[in-house]
Amino acid sequence: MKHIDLSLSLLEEFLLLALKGKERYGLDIRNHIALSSCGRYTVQPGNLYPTLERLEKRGLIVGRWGEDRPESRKGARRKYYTITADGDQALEIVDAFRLNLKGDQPVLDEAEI
Amino acid sequence: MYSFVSLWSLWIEKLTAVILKSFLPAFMQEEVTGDLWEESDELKSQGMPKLLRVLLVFWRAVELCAVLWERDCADRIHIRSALSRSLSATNEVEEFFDVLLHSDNPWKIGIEAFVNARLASSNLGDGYNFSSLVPALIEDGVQMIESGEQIHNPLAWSRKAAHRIILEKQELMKIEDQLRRLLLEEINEDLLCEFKHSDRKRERGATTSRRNRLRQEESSVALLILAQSDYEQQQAEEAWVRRRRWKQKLLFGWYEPTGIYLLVSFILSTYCLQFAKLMNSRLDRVITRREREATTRSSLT
Repeated sequence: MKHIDLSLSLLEEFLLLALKGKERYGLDIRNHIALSSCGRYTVQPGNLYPTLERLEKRGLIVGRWGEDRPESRKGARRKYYTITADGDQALEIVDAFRLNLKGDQPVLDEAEI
Repeated sequence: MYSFVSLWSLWIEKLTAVILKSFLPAFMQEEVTGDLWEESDELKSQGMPKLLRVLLVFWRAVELCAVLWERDCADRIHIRSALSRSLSATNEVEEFFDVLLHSDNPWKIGIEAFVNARLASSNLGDGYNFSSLVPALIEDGVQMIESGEQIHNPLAWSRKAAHRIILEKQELMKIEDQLRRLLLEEINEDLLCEFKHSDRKRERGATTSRRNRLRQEESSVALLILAQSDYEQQQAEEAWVRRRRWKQKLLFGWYEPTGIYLLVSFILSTYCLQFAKLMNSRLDRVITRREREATTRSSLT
């Protein structure tokens, strides 16, 4: 069976959450995170693109090139990202971990970590 | 003043494009460049002056390149330390090759170029490449450690071992060439006496046992031609080799443990080719005869 590393850093978690349910491209993800946090949390391109690349390599997200070449982007295409089933699973594990942390007794199954 | 700002903006824009093109990995360039300029376009609609926007894009590009460069350096340091560690256990040899072949690190590119150049200069470039030598290199390293030695500089050792393996393969190829020539002469002679003048005439003149042997030969070659799976091919090869002359059997026995089936397949391919030619000519003769018979029959009627 293929082993998938499902541990997530905070930024990775934010990126996966931003992609949950909607396909987004790099700038859209940055704007979405900034808007959702009322400007308190901004992702710099220096962190965003290497993290997206890492998540894609780990199979937690998948990217595809858009077809349009808008003038505002000087003719460059957008790269849209979508969360995969493994990405969803990683988020579920983090959610479960947080819930367990909040409770009195940690009840997370060891096999899930 | 306006033209001065425009000129500066233009210069910074050009410089940003150069930085992005030179320092970003190719697969990231289009995505990042597009996103940065799109962001700049959004800021334009919010009323930000052009010089500031261009400076912001420049800053973001420099920041991104710096992060990627730092990550690349960290990766290289990690790989370098993993590759320069001495090898003292057999599993460490495989781990070493795992790290070496893991990605496009400079050490892999270096050793690959070295091995490919050596292969090309030894006239082995068509049959082998660096990847095909890796199992032999691992085996060599394991044997060395099992004999109680340590590999102190694995990178230097891998080059040296690759060089030695290439020389061995070159020697082997020379021997094979000589044997192939000898066998070719023998096979030709064999085939000539068995098939060149064979036909119904020869079969008619031959004893029953000889006729049976010829048929067996034919059927085994036909089996070889028809064999679909590797197992069937192997079975057919074995059946064919069992009926070979003692000298060929000896050669086969000598080559079998080394795992070199080149000679065997060469013998078989030559044999099959000769046999196929013979069968074609026989078939042609049958067709011509049938045509002639048909023409005679139609002219009579």
